[in-house]
Amino acid sequence: MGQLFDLRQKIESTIASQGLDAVKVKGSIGLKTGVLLNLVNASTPDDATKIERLRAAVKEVLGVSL
Amino acid sequence: MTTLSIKFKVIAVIVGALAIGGGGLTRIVHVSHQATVAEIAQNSLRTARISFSTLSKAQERQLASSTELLMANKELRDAYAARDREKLITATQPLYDRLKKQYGVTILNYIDPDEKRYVNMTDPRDPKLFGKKAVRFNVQDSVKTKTWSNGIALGRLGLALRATHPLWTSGTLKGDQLLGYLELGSEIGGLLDTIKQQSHNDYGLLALKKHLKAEDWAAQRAALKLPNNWADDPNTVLAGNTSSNKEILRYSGDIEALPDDGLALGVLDQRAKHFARSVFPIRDVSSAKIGAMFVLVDVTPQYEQAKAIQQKILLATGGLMVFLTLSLVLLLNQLVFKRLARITELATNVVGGDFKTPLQVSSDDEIGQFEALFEQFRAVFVGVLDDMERLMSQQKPPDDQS
Repeated sequence: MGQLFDLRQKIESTIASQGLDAVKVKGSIGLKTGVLLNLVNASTPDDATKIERLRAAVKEVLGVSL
Repeated sequence: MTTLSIKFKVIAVIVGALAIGGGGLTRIVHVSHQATVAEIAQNSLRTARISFSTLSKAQERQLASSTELLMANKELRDAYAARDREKLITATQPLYDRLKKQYGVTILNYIDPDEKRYVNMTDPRDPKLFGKKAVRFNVQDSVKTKTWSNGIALGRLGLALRATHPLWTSGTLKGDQLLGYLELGSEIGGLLDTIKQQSHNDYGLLALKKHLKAEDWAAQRAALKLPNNWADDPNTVLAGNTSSNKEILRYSGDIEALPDDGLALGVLDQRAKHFARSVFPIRDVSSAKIGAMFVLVDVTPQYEQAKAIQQKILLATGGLMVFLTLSLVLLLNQLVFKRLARITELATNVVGGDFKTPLQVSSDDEIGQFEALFEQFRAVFVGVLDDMERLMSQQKPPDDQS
């Protein structure tokens, strides 16, 4: 538990460091993966498939590997 | 799987439809042009046939009246009755010269009752021409019927209009004592120039070689200072031509099989010029087909006009393609694609956490109805998310800092 939330935080910090529009980027990642990042919190149970999909979407949208 | 955008599909349909339409119009112009050319050829053929017939009849009447005047000349009759060839030639010469100069009469023959030439005024003192049988239908016909035999006949030198009548001692049309026969004629080649002056088309006169003799033809061509064209075609020989181009009048078909109304022979393209060709048979006094009149019409202006119309259609079609493509793409962009992009952007933002920005319905059209539906869906979705976030915050563990 917590890996999904960690990933959310890393995504948000990457968006912030790249100076991107957080709403647009998170929306784009959400649409690609079917995961609403705003609903992911520390108690959200980990899901290996969702994590994998999120990492692939991040790589595609932000160009970084998390 | 490769997917094609709606824009691409729309453009492809426009271009395809206009290409088919443009091609169809071009084809219609082509077919219409061909019909026009065919009609021009048919009209020219008909006009040439009627003109030739009318002029031939007029020439025949002129020959007949000239023959009657000669028949009434007592000096000529007496010389012929006395079998004094020299006196007959001397008395006939000034009359022949005048007829030749004024009326184009080039043939004047005295023919004995046994159908042998007595005097041929074309070359009156050539002994080779004395006593030779005049083998022509009009002579045989006049001998048989003892009256006029007028019409076209193929002589040893080619096609000529001839008027033949018995010459009686009385000098009248009917008599008791036959002196011989008087034959007047004119080459029908001269008619071609007259018809050309009326119509501005070109004409060629073809004679069937089987009715002619090669050596006679060669002699005639030499006398006229023209090259011998006997070997140009296996079946026919060009007896007259108003055009300087012999090739465009060439015809290798069977003249005797031609229908009386004539035949359109299609279009000949030569040196950037286009000619509609047609031909009709010429019958002699016995109604046998002995030659053909070739009609040549320059249809280059009609061709150029059709070509110009086709170019205009292609240009207009191309212009229409560009205009319609740009217009439709612009219209689709404004009415559909931009608004779909706005909905996509808003959906992305909602998923990204922007729950507050509503979608403004831009119109009442189909996309507007979809915008209204999407906005209702967005409101429901945002409501559900709000509820879930509220629920999750109530269940949030004490160390969660987000």
